[in-house]
Amino acid sequence: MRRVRWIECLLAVVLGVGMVGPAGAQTVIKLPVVAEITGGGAAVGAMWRDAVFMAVEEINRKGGILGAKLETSVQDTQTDPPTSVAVMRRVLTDKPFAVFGTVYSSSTVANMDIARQAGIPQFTGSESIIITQKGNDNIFLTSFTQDTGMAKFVRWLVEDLKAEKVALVWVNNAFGKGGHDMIVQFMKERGKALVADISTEVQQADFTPELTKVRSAGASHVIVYSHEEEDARFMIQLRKMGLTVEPVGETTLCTQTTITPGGAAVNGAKCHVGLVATAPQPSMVDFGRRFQEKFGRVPDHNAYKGYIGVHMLKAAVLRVGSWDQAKVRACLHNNLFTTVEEPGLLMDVWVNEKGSVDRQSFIVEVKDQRPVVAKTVPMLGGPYKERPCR
Amino acid sequence: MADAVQLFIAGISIGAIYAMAAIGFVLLWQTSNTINFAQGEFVVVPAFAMVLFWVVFRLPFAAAVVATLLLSTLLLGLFVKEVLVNRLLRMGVLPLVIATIGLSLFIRYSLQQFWTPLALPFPPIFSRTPIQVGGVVFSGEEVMNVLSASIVILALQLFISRTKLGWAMQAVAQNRTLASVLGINVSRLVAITFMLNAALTAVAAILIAPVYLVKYDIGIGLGLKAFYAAIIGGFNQIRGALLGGLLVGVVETFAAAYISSSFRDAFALIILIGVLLLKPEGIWGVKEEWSS
Repeated sequence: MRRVRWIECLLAVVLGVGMVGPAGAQTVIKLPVVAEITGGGAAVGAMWRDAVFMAVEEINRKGGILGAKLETSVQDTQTDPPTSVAVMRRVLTDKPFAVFGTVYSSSTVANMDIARQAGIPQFTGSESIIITQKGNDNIFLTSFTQDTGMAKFVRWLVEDLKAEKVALVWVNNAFGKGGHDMIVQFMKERGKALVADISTEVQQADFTPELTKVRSAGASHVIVYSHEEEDARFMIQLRKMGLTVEPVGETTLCTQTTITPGGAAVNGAKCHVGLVATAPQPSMVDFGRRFQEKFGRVPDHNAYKGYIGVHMLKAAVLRVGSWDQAKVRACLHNNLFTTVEEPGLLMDVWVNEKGSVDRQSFIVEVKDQRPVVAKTVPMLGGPYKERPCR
Repeated sequence: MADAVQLFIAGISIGAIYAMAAIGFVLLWQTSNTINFAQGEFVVVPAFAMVLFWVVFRLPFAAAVVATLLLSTLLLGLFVKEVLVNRLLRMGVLPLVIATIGLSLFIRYSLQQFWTPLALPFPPIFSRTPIQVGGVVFSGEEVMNVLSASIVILALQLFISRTKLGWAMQAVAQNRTLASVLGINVSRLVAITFMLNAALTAVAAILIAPVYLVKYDIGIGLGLKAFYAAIIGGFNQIRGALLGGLLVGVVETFAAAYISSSFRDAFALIILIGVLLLKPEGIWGVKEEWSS
């Protein structure tokens, strides 16, 4: 009798566990990061990766999305476009729900068709206009494309700064070329021309030749449009040459990843920035604080982009009400997402038909090695409306 | 004209750094027939060491320099010679060349993985206040960089030409077997050469770090340019490496200014190819007889 009771108990436990098991197991949604972990873009990729990981961790801590747990991993493109294509192919064999990366535009331009063919939505930190010109409805930018960012930047440069003699120093890759073309176009529309148009190379160390050209052109303002580390070197050398020209930029020049290595040389630089830790938005400041506590460094705009990207996906999935890639993709076009429904977005964001975004942005000046917000720039278009997706 | 002078000064300044790394190539080749493809990373490691001692541990500058030189000469000089070179050199030049390529990757990605992929700031050592002479503007940093590099190279030249150890090094460079027969401890001489090379790259690191920043991958381009410089000037002559370094620095600066930055590296390569075609031993190099 005693033996029968014991077996009954054991059966009850086994059945109980068996029944609880499937009900308790969460669906796992894979969101791999494909980023520049090594190579020239390692600093950028590290910010993006850490922020995506942080967003995923926070969302999971609050129970995931629609009961599903998020799982992420990281794959390195070595900041090399062909490698990014190979890595993207490998990542997609795991059937993820969405892919986060790449950040360098030259890589994104190379690998975006792979994700589109697989029907896996891709969130990128890239900004090049070339990406949205390709008519890919599968890719979503987490910051302004250059047609939005540069429109705001040139308007500020011409109307607020009253810049007359402008030199442009840009990095000769997909990111720099896209920015260059937009600046030239928007300047032309305002009847302005550059006094010097100078291309540079990725990982360039010495900028004396470029600075000599800027000086010879008699420029009053120099637009510095390169990657963060090169921007920092450029600013150090600009100060050493004692040029009186005013350095201005779109985002990268005034980001923390430029300011930290550039130090005091970056003081005085003025920029239009989309995302910045010192923005007069409590949610932005709070993210900056949490990121710094977790990783021991101030987040730059790439970190913001990664964090917001995950929350853009979350907002769309919640609005769709299911993990349906096609519906989420459709929901993420021509739609406004607000911080009321998803605080992790940090700011209200409009995603247009090309997957590019519009939102508030800021004019900053670097003072005491910190970007200090001087002005908030409203959305370029609008007013935009929220659209249901169910 | 002012622009040309400005560019020339900038070219000499960067060329002096290439020259220091190139002289390291020459020294190693002369005494141990070693081509060190980790030479760029031999500049990166002391740059990170300086950040550690000076910025992180906040040692006084002089103490940080001494600590960096010590670490560099022991780790990149003695340790590499004893652990890597001694074991591989007897198998020929090629295994050692491949091993140094491996070493460069190991150093680069270890720094990236275990320290940071970000560019680290490095406080200026010399004054950056612009000095204007006519239309030419330069800073104390540029002048001191060239001056420091010149002093180091001159001291090295004096060491090699005026001291017994230097003569012994020359003897080993000319004929290792005969030098050994004459009682010179070749292995010890090779170790000293490796330590000298490490000290040279440490000085180069300290000079370039404030301007080019400290990042795990800055050695790639630097090592390559130094290699070009050594071949262009003459792989077996210190003065050749000096000339090669300065030439590469000046030519690439002028190419970037008057043609395009895209052609900066191409011009160094064009000179390299030209020299290899017309004078394979290098501009100031000496033809070497190879015996089987």
